[in-house]
Amino acid sequence: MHELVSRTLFFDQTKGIERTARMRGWTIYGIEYPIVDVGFIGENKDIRMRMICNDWDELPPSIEMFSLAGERLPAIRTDPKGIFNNSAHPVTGRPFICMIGSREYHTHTSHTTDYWGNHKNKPGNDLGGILTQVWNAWLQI
Amino acid sequence: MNSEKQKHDDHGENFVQVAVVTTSGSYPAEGYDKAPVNQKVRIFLAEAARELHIADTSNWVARVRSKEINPEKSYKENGLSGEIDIDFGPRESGGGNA
Repeated sequence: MHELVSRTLFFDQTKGIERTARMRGWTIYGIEYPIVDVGFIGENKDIRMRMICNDWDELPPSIEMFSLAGERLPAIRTDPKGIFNNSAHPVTGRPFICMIGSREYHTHTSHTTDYWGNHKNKPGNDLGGILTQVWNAWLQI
Repeated sequence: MNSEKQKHDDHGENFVQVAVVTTSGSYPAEGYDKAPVNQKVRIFLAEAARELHIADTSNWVARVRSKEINPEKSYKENGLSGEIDIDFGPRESGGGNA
């Protein structure tokens, strides 16, 4: 993926995040290629999501989870659908987001045949859409 | 229509001011558009999706002040009035089971 193309897509697909973040009560720690870094604030479930978007949109973003202070979380609270997955990912060894649109989902041994290329151009699977989906899963915790 | 009713319809509580906000952009881009208070919310959501070039919103959720609303109902039936910012975005998709 040519970096200039990736940067352009990143810019186009993240420019609306600031306004939605205000409405949703998200904290923006930074939005600068290739990283989207936002915090979701909720009772006993504060979490900071960092989407690493290098090679977007040839690859989906890698989604890492931290405390609001920026410490990597060794364990996470889970949602009913299992999108916030507390098991050790076979590649990273860490809890991960198990959802179409997360790099950790598509590289997990259980899902390697569910190709990102079959999903990437569908509505809601742009960068802001993926972050919104993760947030909707987080609301269920 | 008598003049009192005309005045009421044009300037009164029979309309709401609506904006749809998504991570892809907002509709209208600035400010609000007027919509009849008894109109179903889905009509304005469809217009916003068309203008923002979002092809399919069938799995999307609409919220106002963090509360999910029913697009098949009118603004009034959803208890909405005045200036309304609708947060519109996709529900979580498939996954899990890993």
